[in-house]
Amino acid sequence: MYRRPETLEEIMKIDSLKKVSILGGGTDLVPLIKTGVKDCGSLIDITHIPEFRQIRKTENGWFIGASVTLSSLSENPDIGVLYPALAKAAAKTASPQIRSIGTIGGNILQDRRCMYFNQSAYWRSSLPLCYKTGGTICHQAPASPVCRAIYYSDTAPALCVYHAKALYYKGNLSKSLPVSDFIRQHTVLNGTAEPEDILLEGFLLPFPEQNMKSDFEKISIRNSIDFPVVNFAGSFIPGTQKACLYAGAVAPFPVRLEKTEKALVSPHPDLNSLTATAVEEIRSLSLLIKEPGISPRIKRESFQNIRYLFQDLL
Amino acid sequence: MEYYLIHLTINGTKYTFSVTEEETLLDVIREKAGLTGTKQGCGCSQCGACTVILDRKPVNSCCILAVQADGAQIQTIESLASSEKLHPIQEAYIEAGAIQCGFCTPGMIMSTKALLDRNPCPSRPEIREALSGNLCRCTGYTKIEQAVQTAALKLKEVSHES
Repeated sequence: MYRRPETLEEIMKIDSLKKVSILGGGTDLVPLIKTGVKDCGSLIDITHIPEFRQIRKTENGWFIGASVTLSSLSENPDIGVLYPALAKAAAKTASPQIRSIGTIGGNILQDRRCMYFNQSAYWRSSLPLCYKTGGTICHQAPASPVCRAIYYSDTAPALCVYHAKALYYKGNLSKSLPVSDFIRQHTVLNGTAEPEDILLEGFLLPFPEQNMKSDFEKISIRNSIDFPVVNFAGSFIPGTQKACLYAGAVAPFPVRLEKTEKALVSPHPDLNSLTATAVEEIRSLSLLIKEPGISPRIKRESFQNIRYLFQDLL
Repeated sequence: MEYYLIHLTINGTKYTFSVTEEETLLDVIREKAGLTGTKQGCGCSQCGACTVILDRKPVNSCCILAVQADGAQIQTIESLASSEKLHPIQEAYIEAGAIQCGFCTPGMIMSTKALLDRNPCPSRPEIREALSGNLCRCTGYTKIEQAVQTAALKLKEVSHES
């Protein structure tokens, strides 16, 4: 069943969001439906709700609706000036075709990926069900008590470094969470077969502070359409104690680099020692798995590319 | 299984189709509208062979549900040539030798059209970026890039003449 509500009220009349799949652009969901990983039993297309498609200035910052496409986000002049890391992350996601209809909400609520999960139903039928499909094992790490699939969003680290808030509905209640907590909540649930019961309205980004520098870097095997091997986002206000650094695509959620943040705000940060600190910290926080096309060893070596982020921030 | 009536304008012609929620825009374009110029490659948004222009933006029609596209304006490769003449972009691809097996070509050309519609004089990095979602397994990309540059010049000449 497919429905395309045009008002928020229409969605609120749905008994339980657990029984439906929320459809944004569908660039993540439709391939999963085609491979039989997801069932398209009841699809609710939220891309025609006007409030969800807006980028607007509010009293508390900039609101970006969940159904804003990645191309609209990357081309928005205000976002490009105020939140350059987010605009760059959106522009670096996937391909022009995917960015044309893929949404920021869908990019944040994307499924974690794993070479044992992103396969056809026929391929997966030769293995026991994993955590993500309702089973009791992680094929990547059989001793692991939880799913180890990786979260590859490019926009997630960027939203985190701006301390964005996720605005969403649970039941009929309007809620908000720091986006890092919201992503953590999503990625934990996404490691199980349990459906989500939330409706993401959008993100509220606080106004950037004066002199704030921010940037995003993505390392991928191909320069064209590809998931990240690793991505980095950072915000920094020189001369203050304010810095925020995240690395993505190295664990089931974006990891915050707190030790490196302290090194960055020290009186005379040095590019080489900052890079060494960051590489060490990402290594300690990463939870790497087998991925197609790249070995964990090569992936670890790619962490040193965080140097390019520091070159932009310093 | 439920059926839905959708309305699409494909290459300027209005169509009404009855579709299930599982059918993709590509299924409808190829199987119901009979426009087989658009190709199915990977079927999962990775190769760009199925690229069409939807409401002035390039999209992978293989991973858009037909019901999602209800009300949209679609342009496929069949919209470009007239009965007498190829489109300047098609001519440029032939002149540059940017085609071997031809399977990726309709998608490449529709991505090129989407680019040149919004940016008539793209730089080389802009061309590469615009075609980054289209994979070619035969020719490599140098001649395709040259074809886009030639197409931009040809379209400029056409617009001056008119």
